[in-house]
Amino acid sequence: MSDPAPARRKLPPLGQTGSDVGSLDRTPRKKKKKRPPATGDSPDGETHSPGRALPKPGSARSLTESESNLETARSGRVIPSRPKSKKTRPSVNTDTLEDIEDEDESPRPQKKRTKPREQLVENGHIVSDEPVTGRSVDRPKKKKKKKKVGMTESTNIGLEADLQELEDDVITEATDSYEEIRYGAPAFMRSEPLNKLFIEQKSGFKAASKEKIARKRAMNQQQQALALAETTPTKSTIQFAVSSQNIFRTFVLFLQGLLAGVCLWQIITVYLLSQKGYDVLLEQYKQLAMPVQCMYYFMLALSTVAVFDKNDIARPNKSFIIRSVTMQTTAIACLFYLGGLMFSLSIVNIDDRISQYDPEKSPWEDDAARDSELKKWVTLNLVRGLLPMLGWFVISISPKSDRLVKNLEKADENILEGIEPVDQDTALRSSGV
Amino acid sequence: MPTAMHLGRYKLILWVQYLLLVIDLFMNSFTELLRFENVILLVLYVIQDICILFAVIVVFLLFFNTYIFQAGLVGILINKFKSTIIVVFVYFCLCIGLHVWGMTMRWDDPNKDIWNNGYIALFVLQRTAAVLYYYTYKRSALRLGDPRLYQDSEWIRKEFEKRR
Repeated sequence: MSDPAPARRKLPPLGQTGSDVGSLDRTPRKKKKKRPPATGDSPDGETHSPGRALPKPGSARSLTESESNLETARSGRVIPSRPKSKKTRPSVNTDTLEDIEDEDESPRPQKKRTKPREQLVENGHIVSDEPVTGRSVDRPKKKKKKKKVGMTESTNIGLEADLQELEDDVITEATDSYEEIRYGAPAFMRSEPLNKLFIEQKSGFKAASKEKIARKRAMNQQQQALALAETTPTKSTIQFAVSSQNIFRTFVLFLQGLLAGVCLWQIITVYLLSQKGYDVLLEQYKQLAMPVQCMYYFMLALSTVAVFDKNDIARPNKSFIIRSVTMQTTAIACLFYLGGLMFSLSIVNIDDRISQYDPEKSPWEDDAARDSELKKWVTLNLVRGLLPMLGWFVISISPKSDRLVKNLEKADENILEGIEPVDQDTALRSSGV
Repeated sequence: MPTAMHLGRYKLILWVQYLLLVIDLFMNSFTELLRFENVILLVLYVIQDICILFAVIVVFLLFFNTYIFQAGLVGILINKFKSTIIVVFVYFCLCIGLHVWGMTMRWDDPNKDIWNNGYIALFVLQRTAAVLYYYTYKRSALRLGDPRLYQDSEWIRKEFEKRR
């Protein structure tokens, strides 16, 4: 036997047909009002809630509908079941509104008042937030969530419909007002672009010309770039090496000239002294023999190194060799200076004997041996003097050319040069693969 | 991690190398004038040999500081500077030989006439090798200032991959 009181209390849910009564069609509605929490399920499946408050005045439409439902319930009119619309709410719990709802003509099964999808309220507290399902069970009312734009979790058409309507409402009103503001701006608010920048300071806004600011910024950037260039070292290690080589080349160029002059003087002196007799030569030259020998070695060694650097003989290439053979470079000076060095070294023993000359204790066995050796020495001394002079003559034609400096400056020192690429098979074998 | 050679450090190293070369040149040039006492000659010869050793140490330290060496490509570095290494070691051996022989013959009388054919030949070889030593060592010292030896490059990576 049906209980007439609950049947009378119940109104057909808005937008729901009879077939949908058994299921909780939680078609979501616009979330414009929060309902007070409802009680738990009753044994017979009905949900009874204590006095449920009317929807909040925030949502005008739902308020109107609920008010109308209230009115119809109070009047006792049969409320026809509305066609399923976007605004139907799944009723989960019975409440005071349900109590005053009019009963439907057709016996309606016990069904819950639909509530919004997002909100299940029980005893005034939001219990859960579950999507609408076909179950006709009392559920705690869910808290209404404001659906954010772009959420794709909702699968409920009703809610989307509500949101669409909401967006339509919002957009329509907002665009209208925005357009009014945009196009209907009064004349005194028109934009007047000036060639000024307004810089906020403590005292307020200060106007500054854009051109001046741009010029100032460009000047600051230039100054920063100059400061950076000054602080950063302009020379690299290779540039320092090149500058040291230039200093050495300049110094040795002077030495080469000095050597040529000393050689000329020494040749003339020895020749003149030898003309007067070997005794006079030995007597006058014995104090100069070893110092001249040492000076010759010192200056010839530096000159030889400089002329080797000038031609960079440690890095010959085909074109350099061809040009050297055809006397287009100063490579011949290398031979002159090296020859002079070796000739000077080869007569160091005679120079030592001349320096140790004592008329009482002659280092030679007899005069014949002394004369032959001194004759040989004069000849070799002439060669020893002529070769550096010839070298200086060749150097003086192109004193500033320096192949080593050019190679260092170009950083042409390819470290791959002269190294064969490693064969793949050899590399694999050596690596043990 | 490749690190470039700093200019200040390179300047100091280059000056030290130049100083070692100049000391050796003075020794080679003027020891024949400083034959006052055998002890003085001995000290001068020892200083010259120590300078040669220091020069070898400095150049090898420069080798170790290069990125090529740190990457494990020692063979390439030695191959490129092999002339310097060979000349330095040959010159050192010639110096030791000449100094030992000369001191042995001149220990009793520094001004004794010791110029036989063998000693003259060794003397000429040692003094000529000295010039080659000055040239190759100076050239290596200048080339070791190349920043590319201290930087990573595609070629070094390829060579390293080949040798793995």
